[in-house]
Amino acid sequence: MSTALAPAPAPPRTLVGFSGKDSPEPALINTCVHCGLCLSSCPTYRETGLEMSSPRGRIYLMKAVSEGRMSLASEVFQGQMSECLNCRACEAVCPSGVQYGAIVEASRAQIQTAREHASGTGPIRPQGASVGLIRAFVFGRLFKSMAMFRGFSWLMKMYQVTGVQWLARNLGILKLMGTSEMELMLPRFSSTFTVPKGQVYPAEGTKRQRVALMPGCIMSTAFAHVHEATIRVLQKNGCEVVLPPNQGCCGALHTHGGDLDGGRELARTNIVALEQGGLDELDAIIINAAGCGSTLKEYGHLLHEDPAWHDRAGKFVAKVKDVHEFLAQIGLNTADLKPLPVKVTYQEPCHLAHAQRITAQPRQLLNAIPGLKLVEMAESSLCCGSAGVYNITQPELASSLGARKIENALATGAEVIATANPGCALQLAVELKKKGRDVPVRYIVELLDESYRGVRSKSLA
Amino acid sequence: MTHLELVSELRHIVGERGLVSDPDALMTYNADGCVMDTHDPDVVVLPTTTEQVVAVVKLAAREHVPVIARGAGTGLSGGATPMRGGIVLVTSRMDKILEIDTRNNRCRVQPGVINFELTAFLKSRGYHFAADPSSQKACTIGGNIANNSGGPHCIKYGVTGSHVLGVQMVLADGSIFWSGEGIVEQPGYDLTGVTVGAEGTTCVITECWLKILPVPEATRVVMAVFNDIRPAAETVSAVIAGGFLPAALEVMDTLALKAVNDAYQMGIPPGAGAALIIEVDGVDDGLDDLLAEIVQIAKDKGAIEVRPAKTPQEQVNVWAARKNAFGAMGRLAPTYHLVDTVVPRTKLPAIMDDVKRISKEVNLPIANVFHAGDGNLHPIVLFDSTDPDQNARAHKAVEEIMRLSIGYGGVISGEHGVGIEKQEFMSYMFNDDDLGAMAALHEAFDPEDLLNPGKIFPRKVNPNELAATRRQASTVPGGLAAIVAKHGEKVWI
Amino acid sequence: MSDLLIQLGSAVGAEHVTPGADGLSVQGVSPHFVVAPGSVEELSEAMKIAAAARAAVIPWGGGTRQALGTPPVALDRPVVAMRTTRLNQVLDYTPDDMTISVGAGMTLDEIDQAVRPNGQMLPMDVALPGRSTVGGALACAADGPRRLGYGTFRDLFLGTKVVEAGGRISKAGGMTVKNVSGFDLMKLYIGSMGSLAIFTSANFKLLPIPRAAATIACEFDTLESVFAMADALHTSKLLPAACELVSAEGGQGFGLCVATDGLDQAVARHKRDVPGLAQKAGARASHVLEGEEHTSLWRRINDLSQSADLEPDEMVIRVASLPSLLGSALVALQVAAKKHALRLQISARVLNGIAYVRTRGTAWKAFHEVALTTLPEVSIVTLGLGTPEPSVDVWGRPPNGLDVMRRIKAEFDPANILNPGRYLV
Repeated sequence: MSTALAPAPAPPRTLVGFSGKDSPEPALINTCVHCGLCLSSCPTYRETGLEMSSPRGRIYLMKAVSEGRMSLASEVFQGQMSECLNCRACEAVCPSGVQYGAIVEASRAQIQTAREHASGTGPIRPQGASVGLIRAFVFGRLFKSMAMFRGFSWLMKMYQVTGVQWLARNLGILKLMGTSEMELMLPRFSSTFTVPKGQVYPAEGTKRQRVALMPGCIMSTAFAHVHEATIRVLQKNGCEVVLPPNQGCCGALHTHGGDLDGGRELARTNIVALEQGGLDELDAIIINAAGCGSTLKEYGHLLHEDPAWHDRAGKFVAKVKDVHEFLAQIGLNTADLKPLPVKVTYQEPCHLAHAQRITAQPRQLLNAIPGLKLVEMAESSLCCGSAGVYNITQPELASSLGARKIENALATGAEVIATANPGCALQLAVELKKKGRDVPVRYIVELLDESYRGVRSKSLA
Repeated sequence: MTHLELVSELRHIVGERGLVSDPDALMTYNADGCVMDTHDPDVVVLPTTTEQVVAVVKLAAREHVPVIARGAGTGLSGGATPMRGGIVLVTSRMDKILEIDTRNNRCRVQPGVINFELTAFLKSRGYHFAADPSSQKACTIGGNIANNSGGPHCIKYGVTGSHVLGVQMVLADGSIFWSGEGIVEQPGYDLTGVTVGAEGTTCVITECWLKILPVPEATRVVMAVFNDIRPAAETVSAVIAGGFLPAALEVMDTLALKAVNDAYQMGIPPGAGAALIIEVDGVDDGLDDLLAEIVQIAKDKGAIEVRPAKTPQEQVNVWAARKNAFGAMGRLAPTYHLVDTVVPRTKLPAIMDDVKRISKEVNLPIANVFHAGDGNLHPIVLFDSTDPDQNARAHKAVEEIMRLSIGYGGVISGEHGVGIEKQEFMSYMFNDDDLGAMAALHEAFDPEDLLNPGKIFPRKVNPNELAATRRQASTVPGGLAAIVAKHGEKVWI
Repeated sequence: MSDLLIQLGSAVGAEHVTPGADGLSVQGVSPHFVVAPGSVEELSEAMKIAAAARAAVIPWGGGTRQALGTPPVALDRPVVAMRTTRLNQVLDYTPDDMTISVGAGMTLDEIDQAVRPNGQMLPMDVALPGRSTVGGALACAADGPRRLGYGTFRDLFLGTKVVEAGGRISKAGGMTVKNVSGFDLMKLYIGSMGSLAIFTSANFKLLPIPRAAATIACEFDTLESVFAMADALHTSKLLPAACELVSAEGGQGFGLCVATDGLDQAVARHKRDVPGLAQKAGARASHVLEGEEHTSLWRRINDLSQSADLEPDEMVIRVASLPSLLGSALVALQVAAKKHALRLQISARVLNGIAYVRTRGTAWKAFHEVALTTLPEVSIVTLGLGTPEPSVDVWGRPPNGLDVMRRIKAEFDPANILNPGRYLV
């Protein structure tokens, strides 16, 4: 018995496939055997229950475009490439070792390139002029020049401290403009910014290691206090810490957002900066933000088609260490830790847990703090919905994932939510604000710092 | 009714968010974990309530549109592939654990609950659900019921069918009732029993009562490493024949070990030919001695190393490696064909030799990961599907293994189901009369063949026609003439 | 009638067709012929003949459960008792596979004799194992006390060959312990009371005979304390093989017999721990029984559910409920029995929610009505009446899905040849 349905009219389409450089490699796509074991790890699948919103579904879409059965212009394809958080939880559970991040980033690059070159008459819709301008400014200028970034951050800080922010919020201007959510996202900027100028911070006690810290962009302005804490903690652990000049943003937003060339440019800048900063004499390059760490560790892949840079990137990557990974590896100085009696739950940043597979070390460090009680939350490794610019591109899903995360976190009764990534920290703060809950969000290194110093910051008191 | 009208009516039932109708999106529902054949659905619905399911099924019945229930789509036989289009009804949003009643060892769940989440939920309360298929991290309870899923621990605890107390079933006409709610003996045909394993052809399940078991007091896991697969298989046969009742007996061969070792860094010695995972459980008393006896058998058969999992975490790691073995095959070859057959347990060593021979003959690697204690083999034929010659050789290998299994007194599927993958093999095992009895049962549930049509029965067999033929043969005394001819004119009236 | 006799004789051999009832009777209805085919093919042939003659066929194994169900509605049709007793061979048995295929006419004792020398068992423990054929036990979904530890036929029945109403031979399942090749017709046939087809063979998973076994028999004064003990066992980590409440007819108090088997150390653990739990629950005493004492005790307990040999004032019912409700149901039945001056004897698988209740006394009908009306949450099936009484609602509350069940019956047996009128469909 066959279906009595009249067939759906087939939409006319012009197939546009992947082309040029940065195409998702068919060999990588074909590593997926369609087993579906990734489904339950995927935040967007868990929220929607939709196959196309799962890693397997997205790979299936990429495969269809790659094999010429679906157009790059497909709304479903483009929508899904955008909806993906690139949290890479699926990579961590994939038994076949599919390099999901690489193919989704390449797919985004394909979409972005096609949009930028779209004529307006073809199947690919060109991006709107304003989007183009903003993209050009943010990706092309702002994140590429640290001086400009710090200037912009300073303006933002003025906006916050002068009361204009208060005015804007209370008058609801931002709401009218449809950007209230975005505004809520604006971090409280630190009082001073971390500017790498070749500073050297001496090790306390016997010098065990010489390390460089990469302050990055947002971390160096909005979370400069975290850098200060990181430096102090590293010093306490016998590390001489240097901040080589001329380094900048790691390029995470670019590579995740499909601007692979932008990402490559930044990668080269950073590699040169560290080489000039004495890469050979360094024991490690330390990064305290999960997203930046995973990007830095992938410079090798990013530059793998560039023979001139591939080896240099390899040498660089070999030294990159996440701060938690590093501290656990050299053996944490526990002798100087003072009691910090507080109940903490840990929100695992995706780019730490999944992209870098660092899950035990952050917990190890937290558990090392005397008096601190670590309580695990449900779904601790499920993405909080931050994921770079995800709040802006997918506000609905970002918000429901954020709410889910906060519910899980609050259910533990923790007094502090610990994390290790600026995106997560901001997202958690926003969701807590929405819920009207006053639970501090802290980086693990901040808690270590407080324990070493034997002081409790105001928010923990 | 046009496609547009159907979509519009469905939208009324499940809402805009509960509906998928874009052709590009529908494409992602054209297969489950088995991609040997694909077919796009006409529309996909994601209901959240039982009422919505009933309304969807009623609409489908009215319009003669097939309904294909789908959980997570991790099935390995194509059971969720909409071979004739129609409505794919996805249960992923019906994922609530509704009730746990430990006093009566039961819990009530919606079909979209993920097996692993139920397991975790129950574990925190000292209980477990026996079926633990390798896909448990993603697969749903509804899918487990439809496929009568197994898993490593079935050797002791039985398959899903032994742990379903009753289901709330929506029949093809949209009528709905509970087939049982926890009373273990009730008069009437066992509608629960025949629905388990029926691959969604008898009803759509909207809720179910599952039997749950207390977590045993103690569990021990060891892994015995062998030079070759044969001594591992011989150990399994000897353990079974020796009257032991382990909680699991699982074998991985050298290729599978390589894949999981790459993925999980298990530190398996290079050159290991096979590993046997042995688990025993129960009250703590005597468990060590029992394990020691089994380990001794393994050593007598030539185990080169025996490593106990000393902590609960180590036990978890061993099982994680074992359960992800299929997926890890992607590390060895772009495509694999996973065979699921069962042989009597004494035939394990022999069929392992055969698989090795077939691998040589077709010149393709075949990995083995399997529930040895049940005689349930999973030879995994590794090949590159883009190479037509390799494709042909892989299919030859699969068919040969299938024939051999049946020749040894085995069956065509132990736990993955028939679906579309094995439907042509059904006639290897069953003649038309055997299939006729199945068709009769099918007919009582789904006379219009709307629930997951085109599955289980060989493609040339239409279950409705087969059932009709049977009915005629029984009511119209066609057979009678023969009797009369044989036994004389005068027949009792 | 004599033509049918001749035809049946030509199918199975004249010496295997007995005209008249041969002493057999189903609740007052006597068969006209008793036919005993010697093979699947003969049975098939005999069924074709019976179907052509529109006979009513009563499948007959050991005949120990023929008191179940309503009397056959044969009207003016010839009634044929189709005996499976000659299908009593072991068909396939490789001990090391731990599976066996047997003819449906084998008794449970005969199966036990076949597998025991190899240290194996089919732990079904049905009543009257010396007379019960495995086909009959399957058709009636008989159970035993060790269902707690070993499950029921549902868990061990791997495959079968049946002869359907029209004589068609079909098989289902196989000889392997795991199998999802097509529909699970074994589940359909279990408990279908011969209304769909006649078993000719059955394949089972076997289990090793445990190395050690013992019983801890605990004595209690009240049902409440028995169920307190059951609760304690339920929440403990102990894994008894059986836990049977036994009340002696007219006796004082109740016994809770806890069987343990398996490894020596595990049995020792139960012998050590169970008496303590019993004492806490208020037991008068507990005794450990081993060896022949243990074996013979369970042989007697197994038979407590029999409904083959009934006195005229005797009734046997099966009470099935959620385990948590069984205690209160039995208390209610106790009260009702007292009120109607009935003597009550109970054997109950307390942790499974199953009780076999036997009454002696004349007011059984009133008691039965009270039971049905006051215990709506409980399934009550009448297994046997010493004096057949067609008006009794032997199946209790009708099950859900009766329409589907009727359609199944109509597909398998459209002419209503098999056990007409006896099953609830």
